[in-house]
Amino acid sequence: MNRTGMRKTGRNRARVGPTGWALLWGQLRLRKRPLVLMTAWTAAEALPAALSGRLIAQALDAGFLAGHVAAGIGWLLALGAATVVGAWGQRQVYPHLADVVEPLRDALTRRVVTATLSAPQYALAPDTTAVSRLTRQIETVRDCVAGQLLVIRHFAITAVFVILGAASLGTAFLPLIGIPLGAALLLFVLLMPLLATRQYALLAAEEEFAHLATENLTALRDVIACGAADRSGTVLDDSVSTQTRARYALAGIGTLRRLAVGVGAHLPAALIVIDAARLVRHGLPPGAVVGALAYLTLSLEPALRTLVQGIGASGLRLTVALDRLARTTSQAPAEQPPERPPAVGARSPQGSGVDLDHVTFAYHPQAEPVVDALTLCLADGEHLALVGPSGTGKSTVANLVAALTTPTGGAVRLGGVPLDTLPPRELATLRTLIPQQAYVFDGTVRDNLGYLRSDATDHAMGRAAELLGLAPLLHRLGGLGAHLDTRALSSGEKQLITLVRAYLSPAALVILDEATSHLAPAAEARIEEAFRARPGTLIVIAHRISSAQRADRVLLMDGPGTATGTHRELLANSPTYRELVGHWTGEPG
Amino acid sequence: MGADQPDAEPHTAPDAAPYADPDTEPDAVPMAEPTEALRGRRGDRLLRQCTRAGAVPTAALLLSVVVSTTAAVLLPAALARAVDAGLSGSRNDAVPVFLTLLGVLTAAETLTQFAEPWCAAHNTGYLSRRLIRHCLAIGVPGTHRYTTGDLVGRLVTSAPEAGAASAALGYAAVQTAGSLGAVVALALIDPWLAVVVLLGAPLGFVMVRLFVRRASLVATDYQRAQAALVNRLLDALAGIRTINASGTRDREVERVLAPLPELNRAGRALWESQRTVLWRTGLLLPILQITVLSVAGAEVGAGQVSPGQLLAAVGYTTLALGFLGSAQSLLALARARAGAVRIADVLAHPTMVPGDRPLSEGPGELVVEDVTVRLGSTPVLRGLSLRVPAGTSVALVGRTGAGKSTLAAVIGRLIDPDEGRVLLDGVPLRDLHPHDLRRAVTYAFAQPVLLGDTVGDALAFGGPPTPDAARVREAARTADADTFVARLPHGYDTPLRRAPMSAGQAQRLGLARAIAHAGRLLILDDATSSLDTATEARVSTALRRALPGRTRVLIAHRVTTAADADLVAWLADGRLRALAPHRTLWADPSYRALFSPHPADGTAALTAPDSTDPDSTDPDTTETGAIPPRHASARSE
Repeated sequence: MNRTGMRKTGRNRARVGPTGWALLWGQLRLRKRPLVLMTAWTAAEALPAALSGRLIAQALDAGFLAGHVAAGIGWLLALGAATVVGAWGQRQVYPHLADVVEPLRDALTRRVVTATLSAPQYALAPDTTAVSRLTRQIETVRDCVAGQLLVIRHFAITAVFVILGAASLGTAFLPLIGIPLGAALLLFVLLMPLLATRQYALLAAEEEFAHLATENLTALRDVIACGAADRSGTVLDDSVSTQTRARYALAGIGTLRRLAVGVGAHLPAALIVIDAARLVRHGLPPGAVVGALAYLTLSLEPALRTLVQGIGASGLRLTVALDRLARTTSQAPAEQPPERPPAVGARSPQGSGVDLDHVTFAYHPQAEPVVDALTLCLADGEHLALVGPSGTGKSTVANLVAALTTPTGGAVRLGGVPLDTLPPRELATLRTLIPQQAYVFDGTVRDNLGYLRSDATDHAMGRAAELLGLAPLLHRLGGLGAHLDTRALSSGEKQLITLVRAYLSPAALVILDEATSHLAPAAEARIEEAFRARPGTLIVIAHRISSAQRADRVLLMDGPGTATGTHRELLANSPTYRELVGHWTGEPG
Repeated sequence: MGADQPDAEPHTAPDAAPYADPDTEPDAVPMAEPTEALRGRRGDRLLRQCTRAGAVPTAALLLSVVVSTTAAVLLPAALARAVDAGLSGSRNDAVPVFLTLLGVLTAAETLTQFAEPWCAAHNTGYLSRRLIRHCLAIGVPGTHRYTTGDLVGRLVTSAPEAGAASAALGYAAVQTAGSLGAVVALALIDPWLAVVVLLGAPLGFVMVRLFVRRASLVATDYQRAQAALVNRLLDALAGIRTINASGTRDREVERVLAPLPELNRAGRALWESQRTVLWRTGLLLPILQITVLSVAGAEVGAGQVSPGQLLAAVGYTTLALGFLGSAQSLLALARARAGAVRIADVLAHPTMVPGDRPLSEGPGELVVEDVTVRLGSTPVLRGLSLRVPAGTSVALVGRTGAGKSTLAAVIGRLIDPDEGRVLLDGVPLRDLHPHDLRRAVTYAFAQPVLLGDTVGDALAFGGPPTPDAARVREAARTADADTFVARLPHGYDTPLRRAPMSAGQAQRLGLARAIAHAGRLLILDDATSSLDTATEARVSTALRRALPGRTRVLIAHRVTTAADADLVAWLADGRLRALAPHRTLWADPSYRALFSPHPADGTAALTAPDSTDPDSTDPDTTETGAIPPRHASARSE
């Protein structure tokens, strides 16, 4: 992949890059054996194509025309036998085809899943439609690869057999068939790039239209309110026109495909018919002429039609799908980065205190920082609440402390050790973050609760469930061994499960990012008390003011108004905090 | 915006929208769900209209198809005559006739090759345009009934499917006609040949039917395994923060891929079924051809059939079995009709009728007279009347479901009331010309959707008149958006898609857009809810200074916003409970309670009205932790 990667950057890619084909090639190289076997069986499959004209000629010349009806039927029965062999050969092709495309699909699926779950851009905002699209593209690759393998292979062998067979009837047929067929194939090959360009233009027009339609219809309320309905109508109409023009252009080229059939299969037939009288005068039996025409009409014409119709569109769909898959899956490493060997003198964290040292984070160098030079020192065992209006960066702070996001400036230390020196596996045992959107998966309750600690005993699980208030739900579900149907759980129930999971984890630092937002205030209080009593440091991103009241310290995030202190201190010193608390408790602003 | 809410817009008629749609049938006001038969008739009518609009490409397709079918049926016979003439050395017109016919066939098929996509493209374009214009003419009420994804699906999938109708119909007809012609031709050569084909063909038909059924069973298994995998992936993606924080990516990859062996198995079963079918149907045509050859050969021996006719007989056998392919064309036709029905359904939805009265200069006095709005059968506003004096600011307050957003939508004619009317400076909104209406009334929303290539374009979006760059900048300054726009990589020229934005920043841009276009009435639908209180105060001061004398209606959740307005309109149960200054109302404990959902236990949600996640904004959590379903969204409140 490195080589193709270099090519990609080295040259301005016209439409679709070579990366996609490299991806396919790399996969097909692993499956040489079924490919070879497939080709071998194709020869058997094309047996009737090879013999049809010859046997029909025999049946006429040595049979029906010579007055030997039985012999004629005998030759035709031989053709029948050849047909059965051919169909049987075709039958043998399919298992090998499956051996090529099914593992191909499996491998691509694995790549996509791994890449999707590793992609940094999905870590913050998962794009579900993009993911669905990727899985559809895998199916496109599967279908098109199978189709291309069948069509190209079949045509190539049929064409060779037809020419050989016709030549065996009379060498005079060789130029009559060979030259037009060669010209047709040349025409087709020359046509391909143009066909691909126009097909790609249509695809681009279709995607642009889908994009514009989505954009304008999503914004329909704003479009109407801004008095821009005419403008949107014109923009979309223009896009429809572009699309229609692209379809016309493609249709224009499409007609040339039909001409390729005319030149490759019909022209030879016409030439043979014109030349028939001369050929027969020169001693060719009538059956041979009929046989050669049979080769053309029965075998070559259908194969050529399939080739020119099938290859253009599906070949391009394949190219585009491959290119997209290659681009998406090359963004992330296929494997976990190797564990960094512990550096000489590397320390293990001492306790679970957290140091934020002038931590800054911005999405873009020029963008307004979301977190600006935040400095905060949390002692081991301290309980901090983060409050502030939404959009002020509370979740970003949670991500920074959990090492899910790397700060663009400053450093975060856990137990005195910089986070970026801790290997991911160790990190997972040191801290845990529970986001608002609870992740519960199909599996047993035990699997879900032990997600962060597989060696947790049933007893420990039961105790934690009791402590955090999960016991009634656990009872209702039918105990630890019961299967969880994630769709039957409410948001609050899912949150409870992930909270018990976090409670059981070995991590001493627990970060709850609005993890109790769907729970009633009393349940929330019970859970926060339980986590307070648990050894280690607790950071709670508060959904309700009561969370702040319970904490040892409060960090108020409000841009320049960011401040820390106890609930009382902030009430006394921060007007913003007062306002935040106050306007919900009855004071006019 | 539940799709199940029947839409009630009885005052609207379908044919006077800004995008007037003359073909929309008047029988189709969707007060009740239309029957399948009616929907089918509407779809067919749409297809007929579509064909009429594309008469030229349709005629070209028809002509090319008729000519090529005729040529295809005549060709084997001509070939037979030409071959026989050649073999016997006789000089007659057989060879020229054959060559001419071959030329005609090539020309006609080439034309078909063009006419078919031409026709389809034309039809698709026609259907897409009508659908787009109709969606725009339905306006905001349409968003209550159809999601964006649904409409886009109808545009990009249903329209091309329906557009292929004439081609599919043409092919089905051609294949049938060709098959019939071939059987007749066979009978003319030798009646026995026709008998052979007529006996073999039904067999083929049964086998194809059998295949389609079997294959669709296996395909269902495949799709199920595929869906399971995709769902697991989407689930994992939704929990990606947990997975990253837990360092369990590898485990999750395996969990997502668990259905893969099943998918592989189903995939192989699919190939296997295809293989079996090919083995059977693949034999049908050759066996039939060889039987025909044998019968014809015997007749050649008897001198009844010439060698050329033998060749023709094989060709006719192939042609006669062409009707097997028409199953596919009929399938495409069924899909095309289904697509047309889906488009006709939307076209049957009534549109908003634009007025034609101009709006003369005026101070911006807003009068709401006895307005009732229903969502389905539930009244959201019940005979509400309100007078907003010109140049004043009025805050709409009330609990969730009180009708604030609906009122905000009615006073700028984003929706029409079911009863009653709204007047701006004495002119009913319903009578106003859309251009004058939109110039006079400006909206800013809680979650604005920005449109335009660059950030600057997004702020200038709308009109005419389109504000110039200086005005846009000024508006951005007023909305406190200038600073962060300036920090974007290319300032106002930053492509919108590349500008990372928080909810609060997007809201400020939406506000700036409204300020840049501000008319005599400004409606702020919760437009500062994501701003922190300090910023909000700054913005509202700047707003008052920048736009003096404008009538302003704003939805308020915060005490500060309500206190800032000249008057507060307190809505309860779709009615106006009081209209008075904030100071006056504050004496009423139930008014104060509006701003404090949990006054007793002091556990008020800190971020409640600010968050964009509807689940997290609902303070009504129950003891079990489950959230009751929200009855109102921002739009249909």
